[in-house]
Amino acid sequence: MKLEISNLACGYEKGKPLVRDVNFTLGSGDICCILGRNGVGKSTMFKTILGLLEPLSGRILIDGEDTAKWSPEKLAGSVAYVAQSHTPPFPYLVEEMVMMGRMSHIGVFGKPGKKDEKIVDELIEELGIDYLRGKPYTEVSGGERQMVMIARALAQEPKILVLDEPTANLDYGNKVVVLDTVKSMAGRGICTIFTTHDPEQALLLDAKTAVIIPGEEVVFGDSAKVVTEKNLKMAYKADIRVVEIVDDTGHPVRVCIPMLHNKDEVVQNRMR
Amino acid sequence: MRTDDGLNKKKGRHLYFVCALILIVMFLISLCFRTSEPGFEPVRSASNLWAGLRIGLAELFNQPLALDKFDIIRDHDFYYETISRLKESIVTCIAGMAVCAGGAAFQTMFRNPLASPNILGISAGVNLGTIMFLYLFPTTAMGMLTRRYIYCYISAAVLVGITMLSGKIAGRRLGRFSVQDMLVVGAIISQFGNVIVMYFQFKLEDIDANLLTSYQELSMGIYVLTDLKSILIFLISMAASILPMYLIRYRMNASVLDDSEARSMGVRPDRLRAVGMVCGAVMAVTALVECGDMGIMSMAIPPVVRYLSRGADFRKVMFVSMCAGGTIMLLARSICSMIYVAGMALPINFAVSLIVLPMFVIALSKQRGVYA
Amino acid sequence: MKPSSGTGSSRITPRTSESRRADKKEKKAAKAANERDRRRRRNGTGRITMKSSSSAGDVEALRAQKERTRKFKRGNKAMVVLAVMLVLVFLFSSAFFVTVSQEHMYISYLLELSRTQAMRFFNFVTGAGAEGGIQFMTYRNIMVVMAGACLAASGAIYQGTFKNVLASPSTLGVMSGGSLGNIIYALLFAVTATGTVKASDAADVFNSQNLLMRNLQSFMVLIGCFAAVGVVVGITLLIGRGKFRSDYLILTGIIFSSLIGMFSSMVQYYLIESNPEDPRVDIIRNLTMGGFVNSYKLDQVLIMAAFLVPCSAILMMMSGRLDALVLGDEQARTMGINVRRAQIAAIGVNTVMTAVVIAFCGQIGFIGFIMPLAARRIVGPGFRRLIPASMLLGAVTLLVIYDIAVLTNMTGYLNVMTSGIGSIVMIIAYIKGGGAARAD
Repeated sequence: MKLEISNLACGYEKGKPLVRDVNFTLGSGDICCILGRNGVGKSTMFKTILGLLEPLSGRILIDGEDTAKWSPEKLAGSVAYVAQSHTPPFPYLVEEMVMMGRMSHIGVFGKPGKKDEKIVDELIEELGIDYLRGKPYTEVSGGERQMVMIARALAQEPKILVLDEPTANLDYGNKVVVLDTVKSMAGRGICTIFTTHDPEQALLLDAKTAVIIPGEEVVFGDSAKVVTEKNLKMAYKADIRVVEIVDDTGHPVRVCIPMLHNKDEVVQNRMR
Repeated sequence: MRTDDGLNKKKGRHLYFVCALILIVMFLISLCFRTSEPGFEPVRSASNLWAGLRIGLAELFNQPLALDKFDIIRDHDFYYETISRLKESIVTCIAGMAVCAGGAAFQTMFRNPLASPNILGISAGVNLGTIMFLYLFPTTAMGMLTRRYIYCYISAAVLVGITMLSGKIAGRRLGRFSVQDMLVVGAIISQFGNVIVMYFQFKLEDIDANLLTSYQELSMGIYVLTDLKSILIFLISMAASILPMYLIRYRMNASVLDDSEARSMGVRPDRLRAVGMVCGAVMAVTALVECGDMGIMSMAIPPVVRYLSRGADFRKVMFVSMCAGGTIMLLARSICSMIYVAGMALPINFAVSLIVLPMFVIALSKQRGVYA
Repeated sequence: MKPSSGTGSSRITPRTSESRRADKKEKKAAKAANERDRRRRRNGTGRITMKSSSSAGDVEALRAQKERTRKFKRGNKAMVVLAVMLVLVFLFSSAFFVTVSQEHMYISYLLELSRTQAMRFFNFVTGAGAEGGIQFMTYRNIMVVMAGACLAASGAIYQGTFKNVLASPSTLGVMSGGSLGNIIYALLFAVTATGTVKASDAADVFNSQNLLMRNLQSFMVLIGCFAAVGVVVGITLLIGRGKFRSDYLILTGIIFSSLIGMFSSMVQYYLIESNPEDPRVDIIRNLTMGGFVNSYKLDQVLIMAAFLVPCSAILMMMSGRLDALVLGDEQARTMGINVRRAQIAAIGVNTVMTAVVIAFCGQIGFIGFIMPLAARRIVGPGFRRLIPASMLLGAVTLLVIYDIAVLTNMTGYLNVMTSGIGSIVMIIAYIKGGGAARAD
């Protein structure tokens, strides 16, 4: 599976692109992390990749085919999406939520059959949320909800998984759980794209990273090359040092450390 | 875990069976009540029905039994009452089922546990249509009651159109169809319509006091049309609106998710919503025209169902709501047949609201989850 | 490093009552300092002192500052305009308006009629005498003004206390409670005047009964209103399991209103069925329709004023506390306001006002719904100015609508008119204003 994005420009109005000159290629099992400030165009880019917005220019190719002409049903066969966590109004059971992911295979007038149930059961076991069976979705924690939604997206049997800030609003332990899951999905051959506010996650997962800097072109590449102090400063307008340390097993790991200043410097920074 | 799942599935099937059974039992019970005076006569009603069946079949196949028809009828007390009671019960039951199904659909579509077709201003529209009909044809109205359907549908369509248009226009600034806007506009339009209806009630009374009583009877559901034409119209529109919703009943669940998530699953939530709204509205209008305003039933029953059962799968909620709606309507009708005020049975819409209200309050108060 | 007062980072010191009191003092001091700053900036002649040198952010702040000052001044101006309008419209409607029938629709006759009316009004005001029932028109206009003002004010309070746009006396079921009280009165206590022999006897009986009936009816309406508020709030608390949620409140109010409405039509139906000329039906209907038919006497005006003026005064005094309530229950508590007491007081005063208005003037919908929204857009959300502004606006609007009703001879159906006109205006304003996004 190959996802090619060439010269993509995304935006809501013609002639006013929020993000332009996006160029990258992802294959099966790749993890792609998109970094950028609030409002810089991350969700716009997402929506364009998902087919919810028309690209202002450029093309998106999945396995060589231009997805601009694809119907939502066809696109659903390749791409699945998990929004930022939201509170559902009704107490759907966890397995009912996961089963919803099979809708692209069930059809408009159908209902879940034995095959769908088998796939859902297997997925629930694989993701380790078996203990949540029978619980209403509204009564599980934020991290577990995220896992259920990811399970739902995986039930769609997609080739590409798009996650919108999957670790937002999660406590630290749950963040780790989600990141572990992303890693394991890469192992299953699914290409995962996600946005995050934490540049360290890109380094932890050793993901291909895209940094959206307002007014410049999108920087894309391996995390080691892209997550640099210069790029982070341009992207977030904050002094962040990238430090390489050695973990217990002797492997080098890169971490981000924001440099905090005293009050006057903060005001000066904000003014700049 | 796996065996537990199998047991749950069997429990699920049991639930469907039990609900349908309760509905049928309630239906049979309601057939046994008398219409012109308080009374409960199971044996005689049964024999009336049996006689009716024989006569009907005989007439259908042109058997000689048909010639003795009137002798048979004379032998059976209150025969016609039972037959008309049968028709009434069928209509009332289906109306209740449709209204609750519409409520469940609206709640799922708008992700709001308090939505119902009434938010679109439907009841005001139907009342308006009825009263315009009576106003425009004061002398001949009662003779051509089936034409009332047209007026009610048109006026309901107009009001609903205004509400939805306002929702769309207002929602354009937010970039999406806003439910809260529709709620507010729907509430305003309902009040507006009701007030105009109030005004015309006076006008009607000036023309002919009987017209006013006719209007009240029609709007409160005291007078249920049971002639063949009305029943045909009713059944056809109900079938036409319940069927599509039944077909897409699993897909409706996708409305609960974010719109972008739903689209990425290959579902088109706007189309689902359109179909659901049209079907729900048609169901509600038909039920209203036939049986009068039933108050909070369409809004209140689905949350009660969701509270009593596990999970919120629309298939289950729709089926159980329909059974519950039909049962409660029949129950209300039975109860009202036993209470006679000023020589007539109580109108059922008040009784329905009274029955439903405590259930609703209890269900809402016991909810543990986060509700919208 | 001093431990910061509760912002973000972990607290090292345990929360003793001392530290809590210190926090409260700190917060009060901070609030006072803010208030001082704001007042200084507002009352200043436009000279703004900024902390650092100008840059993009500061120009924005300056612009916002100017906009706020402008809005404030505009709000004040608008209130003055409204007050003047009120006086003018009142004089106009008392002096000039007459009921016109179809055959009198030509200008010269109308002008003649108006001139006579104006002369009568002048005579009445200067004490030279009251002819042609001018005092009744004037008294009724006064009652209309009072009704409009108080409905609008109570709507503003409801919307603020429950933080929900849809809250108003009509949607919360208060009006329906009043009509329920009225129905119970009509069914149980109203005496249907049976045929009497002599005209003067009948008049005596009717007059004495009328006064007694009037009081009893108003009393039952008052009880009905309070009972309605009690039931609705009680059910809301029950549903919310002790926590008060405004959307449940609106829901319960609407359900309650529709139940009462159904009950009312049922009762009317049965009454008409058994006796087409039953006067009890008129009693019930007059209230629902909002007719002022029985309200034109000076003692009624005085009774109404005796209730409404103190209530409005209490609301004005409480406006500061109500402002704090809008910020949120916990915030208000930290500012030293007894939240529960303030809420109960606000709702209680509101209910009394609404009950008095219903008892004398019947159900009048929409005034309490729209006027506060419009007033808020003119003078902003602060209650100190919102209450008088919405009162003025409500009075003017209701008076204008009443004049239209006089012209078209529909004074018995004021509810119809206000709901009709109100709905159209409301929908247009709502859509234009961007709907839920803008409505407060």
